[in-house]
Order: sequence, then C-alpha cells, then structure tokens
Amino acid sequence: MEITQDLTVVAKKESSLSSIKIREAIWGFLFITPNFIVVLIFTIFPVIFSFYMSLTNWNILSNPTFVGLANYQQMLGDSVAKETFLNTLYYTIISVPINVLLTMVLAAMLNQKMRGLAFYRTAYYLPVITASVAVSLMFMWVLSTNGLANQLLGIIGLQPVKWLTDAKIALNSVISVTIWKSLGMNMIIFLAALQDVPNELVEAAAIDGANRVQQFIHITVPLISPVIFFVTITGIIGSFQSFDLVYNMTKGGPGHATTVIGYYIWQQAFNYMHMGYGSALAYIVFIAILVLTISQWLLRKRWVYTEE
Amino acid sequence: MKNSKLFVVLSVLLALGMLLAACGPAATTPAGDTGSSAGSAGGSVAVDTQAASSGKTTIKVMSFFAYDTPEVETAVVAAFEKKYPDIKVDFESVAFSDIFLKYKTLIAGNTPPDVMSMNFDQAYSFASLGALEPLDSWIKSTNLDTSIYFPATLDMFKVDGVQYSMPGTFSDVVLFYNKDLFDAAGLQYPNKNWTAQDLKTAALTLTKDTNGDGKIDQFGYEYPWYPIVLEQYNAKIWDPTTNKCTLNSDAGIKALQAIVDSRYGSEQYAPTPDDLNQQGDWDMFMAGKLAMMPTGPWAVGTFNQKITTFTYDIADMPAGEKLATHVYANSYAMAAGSKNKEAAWKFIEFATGPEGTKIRQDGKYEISPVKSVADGFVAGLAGGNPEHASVFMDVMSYAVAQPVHAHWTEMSDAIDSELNLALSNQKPVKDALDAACVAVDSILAQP
Repeated sequence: MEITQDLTVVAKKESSLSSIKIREAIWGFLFITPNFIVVLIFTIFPVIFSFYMSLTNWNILSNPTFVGLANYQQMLGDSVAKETFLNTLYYTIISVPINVLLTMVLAAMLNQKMRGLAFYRTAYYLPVITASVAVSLMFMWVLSTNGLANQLLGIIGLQPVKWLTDAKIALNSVISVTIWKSLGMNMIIFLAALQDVPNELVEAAAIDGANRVQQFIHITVPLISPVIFFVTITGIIGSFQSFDLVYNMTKGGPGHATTVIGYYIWQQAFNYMHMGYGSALAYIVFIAILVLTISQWLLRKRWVYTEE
Repeated sequence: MKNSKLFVVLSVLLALGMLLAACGPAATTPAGDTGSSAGSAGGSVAVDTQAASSGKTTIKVMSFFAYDTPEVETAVVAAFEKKYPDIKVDFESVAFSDIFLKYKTLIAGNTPPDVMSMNFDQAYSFASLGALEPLDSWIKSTNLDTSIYFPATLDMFKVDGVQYSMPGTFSDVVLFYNKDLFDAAGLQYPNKNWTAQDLKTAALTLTKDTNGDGKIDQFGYEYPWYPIVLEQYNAKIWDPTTNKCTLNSDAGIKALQAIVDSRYGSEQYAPTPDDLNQQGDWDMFMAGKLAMMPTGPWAVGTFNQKITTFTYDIADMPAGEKLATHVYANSYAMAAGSKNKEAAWKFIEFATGPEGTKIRQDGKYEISPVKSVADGFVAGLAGGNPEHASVFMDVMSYAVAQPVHAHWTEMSDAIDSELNLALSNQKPVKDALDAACVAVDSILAQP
C-alpha cells in the first residue's frame, strides 16, 4: 500500500493527471481484452443470436424460417411448459430460503473458535468441488429403493420411500441434494462477511445486555445483509438455471414431476430440434430472472443495511 | 504494485498463450503440421495429407455399429479400402447416444460426414428433414440387385417409397426362456401357438417366493417394450389417416393394462420397475430369477458367455390377440451435402452388401439383412445355445417395424413420461393414456 502511494506521488510529479488516467485506461482495457473476447464470442453473441432464433423455426438440419412471435404464442398452450415453470418456481421457493438460512447459521457456527474448525470448513466445502455427476450417482444409490436412506428408515421400523420414483416426492429429493451440494459455497461467502463484522459493535451490544441470539439478529444480520442480498439473488438465478442434477438423477421424471425449465429448454432445443421454441423459452426465463432481480434490487432499500 | 502489475501482465500472456494453443492445432493441422499433435487426431490428419498427395479420394464415415467391439466395423472399413485402393476412409466410431446430435451439428455446420450410420427411426427423421441423399438413382446406375435383401429390411428405410439408406444389420425380438426352470416346474416349453392365457398360466407357475420372506424372488415373465404389446393387441399409437392419437382406444388400454396387471395385479408374475431397479432384467435372467424375457440376438453373445448354470432357448413371442414382434434394423445413409457421393455410394454398397455384412455378423453384431449371409448366422450357432436359433429367421414372417415419425423422439418422450406413471402404478392406465394423447396430438399437429 505504501509503495503504491509513493509511486502515485512520483507519477504525479512526472506527468499530468489525465494522461495517467488514459494510460491506466488503456492498460485496463488491454487487460480485460482476452477475457472480453471470450465473453463476446461465447456469451454476448449467443445471447443476441438466440433472440433471433426465438423468432424462427429451426431444426438445425434445414434453414431457419422466420415465424415472428409464433413460438411465444405456442408457449401459452403448452401445458408441459406451465408445469415446468411451476416446478421451477417451487424449486426456487423451497431451495433458496433453506439454503440461505442454513448456510448463514452454519457460517455463524463455524465462525466460533472451536476444535476441528478447519476440518468442518473443508468437509462442508467438499460437495461444492465434487463433480455433479459424482454427486448425482452417489445420491441415486443412497435414494434408490434398497439404498442407504431406506435401509436407515428400515432400522427404525419405517416403510421404504420411493425417493426418486414417486412423482410426489421426487422433486423434493432433488431439491435436498441441491441444497446439500451448494451448502459450502454460500457458507464461505458468509464466513468472509462474518469476519468483517466489527467486534466492538458486538461487544457493545453485549455490554448493553443483549444475549447471543439478540446480538446475532440485531447486530450481525444487519451488518451482513448485503451479503444475504447477494446470496439470495445468485441463489435464485442459479435455481432457475438448474439442470445437471435433474438430468443425471431423474431425467425430468417420473412424469414431468422433476422437469425444471432448464431441462425442458435443453429437451426442446437439442432433443427435439426445436431450436426456435427452446430459445423462446430461454428468453422467457431470462425475463423472469430479470424481473425478479430488479424487484429485489428495489426492495433492497428496505432491508439491506449498509451500502454506499 | 510493481510486482502485482508484472503478475497481471504475466497472467494475461499466459491466458493468451493458452487461447492460442487451444486454437492452434485446429487451424494449423490441415497444413500438414502433425508433429506436435498426439493420438488418433494427429494420425488421421497425417494420413489425409498423404492421401491428398497420392490423388486418393477421402470420405468421412461415422458409425455407431459395434461401438463396444470397435474392431468389427474397422475390419469392414479395412476390407473396403483393400477392395478400393483409391478411396481412403476417415472412420470414426461414436456411441449411439451421442451420434445423432453430432450429425446434426456437423450438418448445420455444412461439414456432414459423407456416410452416416442410422437406426430405423432416426433414418426416417433425417430423411424427412431432407438431410439424406435419395439412393434410388444410385441403385439403378450401379445395377445393384436389391433382391438379395430381406424385403422388410429394405422397406424400413424408405420414406414415401424412396430408398434413403441401405440396411446393414437387422435384429428382432423373440422370447428367451430358461429351460431348466420349465423342466423343474414340469411345464411344456413355450411355442408358437401360445395364447395370452397360456403365457399367464405358465408365468404364474414360475413365479415363486423361494426363501419364504413374503417377497417374490423368481418371476415368470417380463413384458417387452410397450409398442410390441400394442401391436399384439392390434392397437396403434396414432392413426395415420386421421393423424390423431389412438393410444387411449379400448385396444390400447387393454394392452397396457395387461402389463400393469402382470406387475401389480392380484396374480403378479412380472417384476415391478422397483424390482428392476435393484437388478436389471438381463441380470435377473442370467441369475435364473426370471423364467422368460423378450429380447433380441444381441443378447446371445453375453448370455452364452455368462450363463453357465442352466440352458436357455428361444421361441416365438407369446401372442396377445395376435402374434406380433418387432424387427429392428440399422443402415448406412449418404448425407445430402456430401461432396464425394461417388465414393460414398461405393462404401455404402460394400458395407451393406454381402461382404461387409458378413464381417459384421461374424463379429456378432446383429444379423445380416442379406439373405444368403443371414443363413450363416443360424448355422454359426448350431450345437450351442439357443438350440432353435432359426426362430430369429422364422419370426420375420410376421415381425413389423417399430412406429416411426419425423418427431418420434418427442412423441416417445411425451408418452413415456405419462406411461411410466401408469406402469409404476401411480396413475390409472386410462388417465395416463388420455394425458399422453393430448401431448401426442399436439406433436402430430406440428408441421
């Protein structure tokens, strides 16, 4: 830090401020160029192109034909699309709050000085870096008819549950696995936030007579509310895009019970060759995420404590 | 600051370097620089350049044939190259589950393989979407004698009467049964005259709780894939004249109810999907826990290798209301966008003709659609299991092709998602079929 300041002082003496800014800007742009080119080719171009695709009928094998808004109209009459949107909504409403609450509490616990801290932190983070195919396979065994979960139920004298093959239960099973897998990611983010909470504020509250729970709710939670906000938004976006666990564990079944919108888009676009319809669905998801994010952004003023 | 700047510059350079390295091989190898690239890619490029210099035609062939035993199809390719030294085949073996998406992306990118392997329903889809070259004029101009084929296998690869690909293999579904279990129960072996009732009576006798724990350990029968059962009960998924779903007709409901009853009825004789989750049907059969199961000649190799404790044989599929079973076939097609059609046709002619199909059949990948070669299949099994291998040929007199449609994948998925609920007893058959028909009708209404 000190060196930086020294350098700036030297620089100020040598040349005018604006030329430094320009030079810095050039360097800055230069630095982001490699990344930006990749983003341009693999993100921005597909985003624009898929909007064009959503206005066409294209089966990949023949040339696309322009159909205007027909794909969006088709969606209104598509009962499976409705079902998958509802599934996605359910998935989001259940998984995001549980995930945020669990990880926050977990992070608070792992923020204490306790034995084996490093072990616990590592253990909770491990599922995050595990390939989702491996996680899926493991849980398919755990949740299979004669799997570990049912054997444990058997020990305490309960009937086996069809975790992944009963249409009423399957989506909940997938949600549980999702929560288990993503626990560590948010935990790390919360841990970082918790370590930034000034100790003197907590101590002051303690002196004023607040107990541990009160300290947590009235001091810690408001101070980390920007992080809660961030975690909630990314969680919602992530759950709208969920695909891999469903693809690996249930293939959207039984029936359409676990077909979430990400899976349905993939099915339409790449399995049935309705590139246009798939793109249209993707754009609706994009709009849904956008609306949700904007409304949260507006609501943020009510509950996010500190922001400049 | 200086250090971190250096670090950033270095990492940018590194990132750029990696990018260039990643783009490099693809851009430079066509020029003949194969020294640095390893593995098969490098190998094939090296051969390409060699081929170009000696005036050879190179064709790209992609195939899922005998993917698990790749030496079989490469032997076909090698024999072809020996016969036509001026044609070089760039052959790629791809898994069945990936290959059709690969074709689609290659066709979309205007670089289709010259020759593509197809199965029955995908051949229909690709042909009706205009991705395949019509072969009739090629057959005519080279005077190919099509009477050497089983007519049914040729017909499977026609769309509106036009031949779009040539059959390279075929197989059909017959009833495999465990002779020892039949002997132990004192039952007569299954035969062509079996009715649905005969099947049920025998299957119930063969269904047993051998260890007395209240759970069935040995099952009598497992129904084949539902379209075969529909066929046996004179039911169709849709009526082509009205273009409407007929799955929820009385015949359709009766056929599928038969499957559900065999699994969940008061007289159970078939394993449920949950049972099959714990042990698949092939494993059950090989362990002597399933007395009868329908499958095809592709099972013979595995069964002969792994079944040591009993003998098995094959018979005609038990009838529902009539005798029916499926014939499946795979073919080689030429891409409409191929740039080497002359050479591609030569390959198709060879690989689906007597020479090519014999290599494939000898390699135990299904049966040759060329009649004279197919006779050798039964002869090759003489003296071993199954004793009555000729049944594979006999059922061809009444075997039909599976249903097919330009949107078959979509239709099949839509039906499956409802049907699986019915077949696992989570939804009444009629409700499930009604719901499936709503989806099927909307798919049929597509252009």
